[in-house]
Amino acid sequence: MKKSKVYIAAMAEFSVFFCIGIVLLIYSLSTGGRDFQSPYFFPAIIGGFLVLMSAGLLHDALKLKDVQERPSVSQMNVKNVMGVLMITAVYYAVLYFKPVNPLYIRTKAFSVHTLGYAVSFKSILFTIANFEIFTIAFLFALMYFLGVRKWKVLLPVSIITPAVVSIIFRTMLYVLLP
Amino acid sequence: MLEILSVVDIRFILLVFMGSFAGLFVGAVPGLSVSMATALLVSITYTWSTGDALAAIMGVYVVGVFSGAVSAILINIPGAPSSIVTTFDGYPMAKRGEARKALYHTTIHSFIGSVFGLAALWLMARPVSMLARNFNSIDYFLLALFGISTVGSTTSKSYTKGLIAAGLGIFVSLIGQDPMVGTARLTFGIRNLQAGIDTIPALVGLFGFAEVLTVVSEANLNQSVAQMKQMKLKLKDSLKYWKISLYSSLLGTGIGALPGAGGPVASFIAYNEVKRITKNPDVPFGEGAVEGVVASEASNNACIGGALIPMLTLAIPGDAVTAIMLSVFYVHGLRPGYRFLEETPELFYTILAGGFIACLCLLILGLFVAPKISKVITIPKMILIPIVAVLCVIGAFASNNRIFDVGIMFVFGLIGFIMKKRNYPIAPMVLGIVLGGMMDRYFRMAISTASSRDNFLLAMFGRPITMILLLVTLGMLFSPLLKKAYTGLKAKMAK
Repeated sequence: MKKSKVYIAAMAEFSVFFCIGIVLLIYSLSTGGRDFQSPYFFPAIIGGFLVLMSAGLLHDALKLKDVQERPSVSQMNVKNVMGVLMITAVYYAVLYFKPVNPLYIRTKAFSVHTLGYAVSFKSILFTIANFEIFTIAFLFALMYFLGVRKWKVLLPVSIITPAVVSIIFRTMLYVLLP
Repeated sequence: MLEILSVVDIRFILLVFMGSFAGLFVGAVPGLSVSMATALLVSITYTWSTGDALAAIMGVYVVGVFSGAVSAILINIPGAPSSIVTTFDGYPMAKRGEARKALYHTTIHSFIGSVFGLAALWLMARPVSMLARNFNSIDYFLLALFGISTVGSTTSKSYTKGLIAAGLGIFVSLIGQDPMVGTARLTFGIRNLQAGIDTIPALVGLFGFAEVLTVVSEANLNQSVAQMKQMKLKLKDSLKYWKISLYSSLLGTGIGALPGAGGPVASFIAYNEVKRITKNPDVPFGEGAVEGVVASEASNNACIGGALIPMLTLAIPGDAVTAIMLSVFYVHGLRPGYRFLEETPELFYTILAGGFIACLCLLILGLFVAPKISKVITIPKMILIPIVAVLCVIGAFASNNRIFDVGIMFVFGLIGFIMKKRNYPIAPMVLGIVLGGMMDRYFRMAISTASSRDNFLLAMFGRPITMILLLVTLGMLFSPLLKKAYTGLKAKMAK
């Protein structure tokens, strides 16, 4: 990494932490942080501390004699990271907004009328909801994106994982799922 | 001894064994860390009784720290940060065809280290609690500050970056309801933030999802596994290193007990110490010396007991995992501190019993299962990573059943990932998140008490314990400046 790039990176980091610190400091002081019994007293100190430390960061970069080799952003797989973030964002959005899941009603009816075997088995099918369906899609999409192309792996892993998770968490550990 | 045995029954042993078994895999697979597993476990065991939750967590903790060495030896990638030093000599041993021997020594000496650390916890917890009885608000504030600055200085090359991470962590902990007045602060108008940022989703994000992003950002996902050859191994051959093992365990326990410094620091120091005192190793250090593996593994496992001492008696965690364990206590409505041993001795014995049983599980799993899991640690990452991402979502959701927390987890995952890429340490941030609220409370309590007295400064820092703590904390905070002044003075003297 070139020395100039190190300075630019240090300037960027300094700006981020300086801004966080100064905003926190001014906001806290203006909301009563000057009184030590106010809830904003300690946040004001932390704001000041961050401002001080961001200056320290700049000082460290300017005094740097040997520029160490460290992986720059171009060396890391940006495509992978962005892809994973986007797939995850879609997954979060569908979990958050919970669109109507057509499979839900059908699965429910199917489980109650056709498969009334063991209680636990019935309850698993009964509670199959958004989470399981969307998780199958999420796992499939993410694995496909990361380069898994074998159907023998893609299908079983993306179907069995939510099933196992459902049995363990919902039925055995009584943990609620999204 | 009877107190410890009184909490043990078949169910308890099974829970510890389950935790240990999970710990073996989690620790051994690079990309899955003990901290991540503990953070996930905290949210899953939310509805369990405290005893059951602690039993499972102790199993994961003890065996997870040990099994980081399995991948360090077999594929030269440490499964946990505390096993980085194990790669120095463990992997060269495996390349020579002695993988089984390296694993055998690792198991025996991790067991010795763990038992040593837990014994120290058993013996030292009461005296430290007695000492802590005399602490007041400002002392606790200074102790927390000391812990955070120690982590800042030991986990990163840049002390400034460590302190910035700690500052950000404290900032995060201040969002939400003020503990003393009860009003909402720093919520930026977001209604969901009024209850504050929950520790568990933040930790799952910082350790779990950040790791997911880190792994996918690395282009090289291939690894080769060392072959496991059958060898005749004798206990006598391993026990001949008992002196090194005990010395490293002592160092590990001591370093673990310092608030803030954890397994990675302990194993580095123990390795260097053993290298210094071992004049004639059979094989040079760095080329497959058994002494190196013994030093690293005994010390990082001894750290477990050590790190629990300040966590249980002072509520100041010794490392990232104990910071997460502290949140288990808070989740279950318990308050560690000097009264912990008096008020809830059964939980102290539960932790000890869980730890000792986990040590036995470590021995069994290490000798019989660890040599056979080489296939598991090479599960292709493109299959493993999506599954970990789903577990992170469940872990973040389970603590409060709020989908908003899943979002918090993703945000912290991204923050953790950027921090890692820019060489900012995660551990000080975690400590800041866990301890920030307490620091705020104690600091304001101390000032409010002192302001009613005639002499403010004397009321604040006049007591001998406070003075010592203040000196030590200031020394730690300004250690880079002191170090610089010392080297400057030394150079001048030499001239």
